[in-house]
Amino acid sequence: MAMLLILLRAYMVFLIVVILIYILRHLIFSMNRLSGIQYTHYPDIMDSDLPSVTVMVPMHNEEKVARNILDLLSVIDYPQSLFEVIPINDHSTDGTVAILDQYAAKFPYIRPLHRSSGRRGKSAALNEALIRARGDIIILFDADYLPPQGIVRSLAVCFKNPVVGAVMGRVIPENAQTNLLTKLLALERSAGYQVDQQARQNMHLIPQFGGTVGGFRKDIVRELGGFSPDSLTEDTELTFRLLINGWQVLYNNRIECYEEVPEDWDVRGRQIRRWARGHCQVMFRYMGAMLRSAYLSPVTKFDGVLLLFIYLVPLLLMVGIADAVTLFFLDQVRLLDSMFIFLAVAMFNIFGNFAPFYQVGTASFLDGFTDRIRLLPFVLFNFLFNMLYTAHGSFDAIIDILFGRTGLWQKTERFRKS
Amino acid sequence: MAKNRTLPKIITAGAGFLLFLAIIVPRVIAADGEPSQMLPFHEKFLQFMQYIFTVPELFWLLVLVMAAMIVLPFYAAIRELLHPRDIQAQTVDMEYTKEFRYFERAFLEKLCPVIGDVTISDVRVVMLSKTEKIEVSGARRVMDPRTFETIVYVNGDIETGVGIVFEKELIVAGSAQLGHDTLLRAISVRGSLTLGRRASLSRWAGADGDITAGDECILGVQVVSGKTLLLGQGCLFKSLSGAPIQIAPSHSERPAIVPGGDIRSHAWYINRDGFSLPPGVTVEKDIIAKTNIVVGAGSRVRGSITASGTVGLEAGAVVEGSIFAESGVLTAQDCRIGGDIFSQHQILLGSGTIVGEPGSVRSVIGKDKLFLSGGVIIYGTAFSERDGEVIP
Repeated sequence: MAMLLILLRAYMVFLIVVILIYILRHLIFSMNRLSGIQYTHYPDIMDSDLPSVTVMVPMHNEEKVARNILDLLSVIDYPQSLFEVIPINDHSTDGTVAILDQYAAKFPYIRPLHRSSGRRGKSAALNEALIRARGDIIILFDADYLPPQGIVRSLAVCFKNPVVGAVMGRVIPENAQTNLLTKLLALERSAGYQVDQQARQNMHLIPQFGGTVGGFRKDIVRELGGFSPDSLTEDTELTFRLLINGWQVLYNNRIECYEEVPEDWDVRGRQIRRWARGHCQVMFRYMGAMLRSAYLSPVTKFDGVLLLFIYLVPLLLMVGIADAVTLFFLDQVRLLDSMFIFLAVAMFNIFGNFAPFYQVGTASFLDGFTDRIRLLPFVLFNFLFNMLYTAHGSFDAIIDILFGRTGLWQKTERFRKS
Repeated sequence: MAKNRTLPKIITAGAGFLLFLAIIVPRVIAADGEPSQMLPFHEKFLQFMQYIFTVPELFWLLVLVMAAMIVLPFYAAIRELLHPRDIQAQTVDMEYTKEFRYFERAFLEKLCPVIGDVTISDVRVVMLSKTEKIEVSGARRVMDPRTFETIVYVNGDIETGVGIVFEKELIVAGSAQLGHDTLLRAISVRGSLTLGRRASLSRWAGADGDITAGDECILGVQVVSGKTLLLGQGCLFKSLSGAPIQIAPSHSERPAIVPGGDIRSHAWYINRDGFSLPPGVTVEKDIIAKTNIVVGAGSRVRGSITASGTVGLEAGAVVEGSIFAESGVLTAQDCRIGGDIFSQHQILLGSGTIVGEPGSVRSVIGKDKLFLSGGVIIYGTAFSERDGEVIP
């Protein structure tokens, strides 16, 4: 019993320290964006020698959105001799196949890849498309994205720097005004990109490749063995594989693209559960290799640990709540007598609730959407919702690792009306 | 007149707080018996808390206050949800592409459909983003000091004297030769453009032909030439484009800038301060270093250079690829760079440095500062977010 009590107390101390570190991280990122040195990168470069580019668009039953993205890709500003589009029909059973063939007949540089056998999922689809791709640079868009005319050039030019392995642009919800969920997701995206990603770029930490509105060097990914077919977050996996091998991942806040965010809480829940599960898989696989990498500084490694660990925090929090309740009924609340613990809890209560809101508010301010800040209190519900599904996803990942289970790729439902 | 609602709110809140104190304090004192009795603070506080829980109306009052404090922040959020003010999605410019003459084209696209017959000289009123007057004329010569308050369209060449002021855009179908101390907002020229000494541009200038800017010109936000863009000494700029951009040779010779230095022998060495490539050697690959890099005089790098620190090129050094530096980039005289140059801080191109080659487009971007010395040639663009300057 004494040992159990020590463990329960130790867990509380550990959890409080972890949370304090994440709180400080949020605050530092927000401060950096408000008053730190801002690092822009290469989209201002104009160069007549551009690399050859293959744009890949993985699609599984995307008839609602396929035409939109293909129309936009057909007017992209990039030399045609250096440009091709591979829409990947991944086991579609709706009208996607016919749409892709129709565009392929019209535009010679649109070369669809139809997959009806083999493993389904984004990683497997990308691996097959990588074999067919002619471009040196691969640029990815999800099917619901609406790429602007100049985006391919802006992404491709970043690869003039020989250390850049992958480039990530900014995602902006086009259906932000639909309902409370989409509005909250717009706030969340704003904080995630405008503050979090850009601050990590500014501070030479780890900006994350998001698997869409971004690109990577084909040769590197092929040399690294392509994407793991059982990975649910191939983007996070690629980020860490590149970093471990000495390549840079670049984030550029000015390369913007519209996306469609989920309009339904259930769809959103499944999406975030998949992200959490995939992210934790990457953590289990690459944490050790990242810590051993000779190319990363200690500070970058520390940020890498925090980044890999982030989807596990809600699960730890839920365990922490259970721990606190247990300690209470075991009459162990004297834990708070310790000045250190008291200060930690006080700091968490004062700044902890404040830090993420500060980050969201900062992002809205930087974007010039000050009216949106009024919705800030509702973000609380979003956090609670995310915590539940993220914890579920992390738990899935732990079960995966314990029992050798593999996850099945689940496509996010689309909502576009026309 | 809008009502000032802040004061009544403050008064109401203050009155509520005083009422709250008026209810609680006397009862606490009464319960305590002896208000002058000096108990330690924590005992007083505990006594107070005990009292609250024994008086139901106080307990519920506190619950009410706490509930109000929790709900209050949601008031604005619920209002925003029911009557949204934030009604537009964040804008992504779907048609944005990188273009040298973006500002000029955007202006001309508005002007051309509404300007009418330009062979008739008169002053006309058109609707652009707001109502504007345009003075249309044929070729003209304006030698006496004068201020043009309207947009000016010249259907031919224009020549001006000293100190002419154009408060709005100047559009020239032929060539333009503007005298010393001209003040301009923006200028678009089909032929060639000459700006006299100390001419000052606040926004953009574009010309299909050559652009020549005299010494000490201030070149606004962007200057783009379809042919050669020649800058005199002491010009200030933000963004330049030309095929090529050329800096007039310095009036006086200055000693060569040799960054780094201390290259001891024909051997590679790495020290704490950085990596130095000795003079006269050729490297066949990219150089990537988390430190400073100095390329020795006359050395050649057949790839690109990326450095976390500063990149320095000694006299006559050649980099066939691009240079990316987190810190500065410094070149001595007569260096050659085949690709782009990008620095998060400063770039100084020494005299006679050439970037790119005829027919190519390359970029030189110094985020904080960009200094171009006499005789520098850049095939493409030069840009600085803060200041660009031509130095001797």
